Amino acid sequence: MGAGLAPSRETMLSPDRPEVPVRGSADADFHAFVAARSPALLRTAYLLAGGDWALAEDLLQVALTKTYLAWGRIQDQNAREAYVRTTLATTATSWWRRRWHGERATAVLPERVGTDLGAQVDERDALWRLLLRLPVRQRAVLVLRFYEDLSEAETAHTLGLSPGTVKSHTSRALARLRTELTSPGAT
Amino acid sequence: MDRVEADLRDELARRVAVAPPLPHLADSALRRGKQARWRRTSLAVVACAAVVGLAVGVTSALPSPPDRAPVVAALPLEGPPRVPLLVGPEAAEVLDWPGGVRRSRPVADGDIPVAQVPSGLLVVLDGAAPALGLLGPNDDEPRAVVPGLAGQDIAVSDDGRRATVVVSDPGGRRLQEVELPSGRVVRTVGLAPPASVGGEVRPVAYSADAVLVSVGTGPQTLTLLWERGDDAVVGELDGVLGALGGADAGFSDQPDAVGGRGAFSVADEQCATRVLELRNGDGSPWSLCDETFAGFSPDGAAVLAVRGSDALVVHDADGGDVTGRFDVPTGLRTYGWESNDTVLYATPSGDRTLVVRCSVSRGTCATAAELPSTDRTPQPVRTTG
Repeated sequence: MGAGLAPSRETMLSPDRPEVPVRGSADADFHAFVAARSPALLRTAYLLAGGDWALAEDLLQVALTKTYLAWGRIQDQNAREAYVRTTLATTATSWWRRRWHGERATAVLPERVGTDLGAQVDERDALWRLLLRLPVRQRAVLVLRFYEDLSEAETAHTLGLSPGTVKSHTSRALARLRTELTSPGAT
Repeated sequence: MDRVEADLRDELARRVAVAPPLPHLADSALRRGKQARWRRTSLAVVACAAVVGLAVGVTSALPSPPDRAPVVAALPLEGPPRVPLLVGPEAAEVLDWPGGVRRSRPVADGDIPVAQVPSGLLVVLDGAAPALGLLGPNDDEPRAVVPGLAGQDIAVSDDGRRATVVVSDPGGRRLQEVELPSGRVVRTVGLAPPASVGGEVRPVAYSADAVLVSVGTGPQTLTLLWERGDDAVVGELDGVLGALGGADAGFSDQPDAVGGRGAFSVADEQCATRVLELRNGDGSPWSLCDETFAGFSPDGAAVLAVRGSDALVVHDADGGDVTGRFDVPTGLRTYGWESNDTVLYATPSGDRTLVVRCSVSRGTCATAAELPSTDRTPQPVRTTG
C-alpha cells in the first residue's frame, strides 16, 4: 500500500539496503532480543505512555512489530534498541496527537493538582502528575534525558528533532515543573 | 543538577521499579511481526476483507464496486455510521464503506488513516517524502494527492471535500487548503519559520467558513482562524482563545449550538473539555475538567464526553446539563455519535468486540454488531460525508 508510493520510515535508516525478508536465524535473533530487552523497553514505554501499563504494552507491541519489519536492515545491536526506542517515542506522539478524535479512551484522566489536594499529595506524586500533564513531546524528551540518560544529541536523534529543540523542550518542561511545584497547593 | 532534576530522575526510576512481567512478549512480538510482514507483502486485499464487514442499511441503493466481493454480515446499523472502526493503531484493517459497503482494508505499516471522506479513506503516507494519500473504493494502494506534507496534522471539512495541510517545499512552509479528491490547491499562505511565530503551525479543525489553526504548543499556543477570503492567517477569535494551551478541538457550526453562535471545544491545560462560544468574546460557557470531549452531535445540540474509560456522558451543548449517561463496565474501546439521538461504542466481550448502540432520548442500549476478536485496540477514524 503506502509503502509502494513512498519509502517507509525504516527505509530511511538504510536507504541503500534492499529490504531483506527476515527468516530463520533472524527470527531467532529477534526473539532473543525481545526476550532480553523487553523489560527495559516496557519501562520506557510506560513512561512515554503516561503511566499506563496496558497502553505501554500496546505501544511496545506496535514498536516491536515495526522493528521486526526492519530487522534485516538493522545489523548493529545498539541500533536495534535505538530503533525500538525511536519507534516508541514517535508512536506515542502520534497516538497522543490523535487523541482529540476521541479514538482512545484513556484509562485515567490526569488529575489536576489542585489546592484542595495540597495536604494529601506528596511532592513526588505532584511531580509525577505534572509530568503526565506535560505535552507528550516534552514528556518524551524528559523521559529520554532523565530516565534513559541520553545526551541532548542522542535524544534529538531518537526523536527526529534538532538538538536546539531538545534543549528548549527540556528547559521549558523543567521550568514548568519548577513553577508548578513551587506554586501554592502544588504538593 | 538541581533538585527538580534529581527528583525527576528518582521518580521516573521509582515509577517503573515494579513492571509487570510479560513472559510471552517475545513470542507474540514475533507472531505479530510475521503477520505484519504478511500483510505488507500480500496483494490479497480481498483476503483481508474476509475478516469482517458491515452492510449499511442505506447502502443497498448504492452501487457496490464490481470488482470486490461484498462483505459478510448485514448489521443493523441505520444510516451511514459515523464511527468506522480502525482495528489497530496504524497498521491494520480499516472498516469503511466505499460505495456503501463496509469492508476491511489494510493500511500499510507506518501510514496513518486520517479521515473517511466520500471519495475514500485519507491516509498520511509515511516515508522519506510524506504525502497525503487517498485510498479510493477500488484502489489497492492509496495515491498521493498532496505531496510534500510537512506534518501529520490535517483538518478535513465536514463534507470531506476540503482539507488543510502544512506543506514544505524549497520555497518554504505553507498552509494550504486543497480540494478533495483532486488535490487541487484552493488557497495557500506562506508561513514564517516556526521559531519566529512561536512554534509549529497545525491545522486543527474546520468550521463552516474558516479553518482553525494552532501555533505552538502548551500554554503558549495561539489559536487562529483562517477565514474564507483571507490570504493570511489573522485574528485570534477575538482574543478569547489566545494562549489557551492545547488546541485539540472539535467544532460545531450548527446555528442552534451554544446560543446560536457556534461552538468550539478545546482541551487545554486545566480542563479536558471546554466548550466555548465563537466570536462573542466572552469566553467559556461551560467546561468539563474531568471528562474528555468526544464530539458534538451532528445537529450541534449535544456533546458526547468520556468519563474515565468506562462511561459515556451526553451533555446539552448550551449549558452542559447531563442529558444521558451510559456506563460501560467492560471498558470503552471506541465511541462516537451515529445520529442526533444515537451513540455507538465498542467494548470487549470475551474474545469478541461488541458494537453497542445507545439512544439518548430513551436511555437504552442494544448490541448492534459483534466483531471478531482483535489483539489490538480498535479506534475510530474521523468520518465525513
